[in-house]
Amino acid sequence: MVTRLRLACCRLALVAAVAAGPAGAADGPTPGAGQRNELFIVSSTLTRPYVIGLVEGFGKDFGLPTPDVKTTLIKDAFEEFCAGIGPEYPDIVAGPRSISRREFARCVKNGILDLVEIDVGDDALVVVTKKGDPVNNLSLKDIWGALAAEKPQHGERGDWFDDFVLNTTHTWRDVNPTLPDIALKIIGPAAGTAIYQFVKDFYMEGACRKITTFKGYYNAEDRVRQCTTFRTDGVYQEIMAPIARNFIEPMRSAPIGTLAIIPFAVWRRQESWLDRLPVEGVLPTEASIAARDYVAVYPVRMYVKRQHMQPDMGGKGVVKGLYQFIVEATSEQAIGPQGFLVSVGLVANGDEQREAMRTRARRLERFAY
Amino acid sequence: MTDRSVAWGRARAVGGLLVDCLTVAGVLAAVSFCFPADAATLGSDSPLIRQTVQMLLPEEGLARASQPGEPAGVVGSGEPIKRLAMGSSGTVRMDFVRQEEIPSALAPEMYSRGFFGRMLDTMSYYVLYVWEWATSGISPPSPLSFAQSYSEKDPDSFASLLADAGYKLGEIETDVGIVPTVYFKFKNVRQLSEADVVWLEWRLEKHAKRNPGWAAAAQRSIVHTLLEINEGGDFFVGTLKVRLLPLPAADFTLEPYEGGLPENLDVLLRAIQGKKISQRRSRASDGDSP
Repeated sequence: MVTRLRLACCRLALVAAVAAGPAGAADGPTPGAGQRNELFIVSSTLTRPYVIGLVEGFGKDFGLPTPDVKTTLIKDAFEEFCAGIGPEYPDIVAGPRSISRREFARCVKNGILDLVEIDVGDDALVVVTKKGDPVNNLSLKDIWGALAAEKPQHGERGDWFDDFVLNTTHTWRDVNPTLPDIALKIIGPAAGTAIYQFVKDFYMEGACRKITTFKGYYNAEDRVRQCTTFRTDGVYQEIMAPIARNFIEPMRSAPIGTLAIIPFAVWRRQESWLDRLPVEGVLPTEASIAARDYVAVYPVRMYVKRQHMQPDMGGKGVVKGLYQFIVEATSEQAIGPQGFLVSVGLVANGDEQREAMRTRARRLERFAY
Repeated sequence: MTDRSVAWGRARAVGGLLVDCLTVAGVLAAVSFCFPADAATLGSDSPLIRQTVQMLLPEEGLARASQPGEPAGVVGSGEPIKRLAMGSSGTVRMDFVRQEEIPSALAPEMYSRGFFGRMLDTMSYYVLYVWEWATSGISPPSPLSFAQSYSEKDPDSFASLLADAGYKLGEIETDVGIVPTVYFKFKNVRQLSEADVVWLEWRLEKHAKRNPGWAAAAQRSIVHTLLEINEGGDFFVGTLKVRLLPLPAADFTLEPYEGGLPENLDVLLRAIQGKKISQRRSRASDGDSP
């Protein structure tokens, strides 16, 4: 009696599963367990314009679902990317720097053993002023001397044990006697934005590497804190994101001699009324940025999880279209000198480097430190 | 090959080198006799001038070394001699200023050697000169020469890369012997921030593009190793020892980030802490007193 009841239940379950199958398939193919329909990309704020450009090109060329793009700070982006393998984790991370050794170690610890690195191109942070305003060749020390909250008491003559005093400079001549006697005023990104960190890294810490008093600091935390604290007396005016839109009005109404720190791509859209300034004797041009001679250049890099690709590509089949996205990201239409990313503001790599990226993408070469 | 034939081969090589030195010395001595030079081009402190003058002007005495720009001096009676005839070899124009008497103890000895004796002196001088020049090319570099050439200003130099990685030259250790050794010790003098690491990686990329050779690649691999250990988490490289001789190598001395202080620093730390405690106590007791 019990045996007959069990058999009857199994037959009912089997019939229900078969009936549900065609009904479920009526909406089209659904991802199986452990799969996703669209790509999941996490990007830094600075590289978002390039990722959006690639996503649009990807949709047109391959007819696959539009990738989902999440924007966050680069540290958080790498943390989320390296959290693990699976449909809930991003497939691609895009950022303005390489993955650090610690982040890579975390990736490996969480089972992400096969990354492919793609170098899309370069961008830079530039110092600009309104056309017609005095243009001067600034050094990193000049920019730091204008922005820092405290500076060495004896300036250039200071030694390792020099004290730090409040920065009370008000004109460029106070900072450097060779500069004009114009009031100090700099417009830049607000604290908490991605570009703010780059201003601190490139301009502030770049200058402190050359200042004798900072060579006496062994501890990196103390040195960075002393070096990168901005003054709060109004010389530095903070602009919230998006910088590209929010800096225009304050810059137009700013007094003569006001400088702004913005991405190179943003300057290119406003170059009719803004001049770039050379820093350390190097003018930020496509050539000097591609050659990485300018001081504040950052790469646009992407890391792709090969383990999320389809099984025929050596992956676990988490999502479709990952290989096609890499091909799109390294194509000449995207990253070539006439490519659509260059029109967005990217500085293209050299011919050899672009070809090397295409080879790397085609072979899915594994990234390693 | 037998030991005897190996030894004979080496002896022949050394003998050949000596013969070459003698040949070069003889040629140089002959040239100095046949082609007299102007004092201004030879230089006022040239041994060639002194030797030549001694040989050609025995009755005038020794030529004195003088400052650049000053005429080569011939000690004598104090009157300048503007022109001097050398006889059949040609004419040498020299400006001489007689400043003091010839040291009589020395001069007769110099003049008593005769023409061939003085010729032999010249040749022995050149033999020694050529020998030193030949052997300096194969002898190990001196620590002083490395220290003098150590420069962080060249952005492509190894010293510059290490300085940006937070390491400075602390000492040079050298052993002199049949197999000499030379070590250069670099100490960690600066922790790197995240921005410093990113910037250093950037510099290494540029360095790789500009310096494709194997030596530069080896230097970069040392810096990469330093970054890998220091950014790894628990340990850092306190001392980097780079060996040039007998074979190039690099030794990394790892120290834990959370390790204890050496004895001398621990004594200093306890002395500072003790001073702080006694100051706090004296301030507390001053506050208690009326």
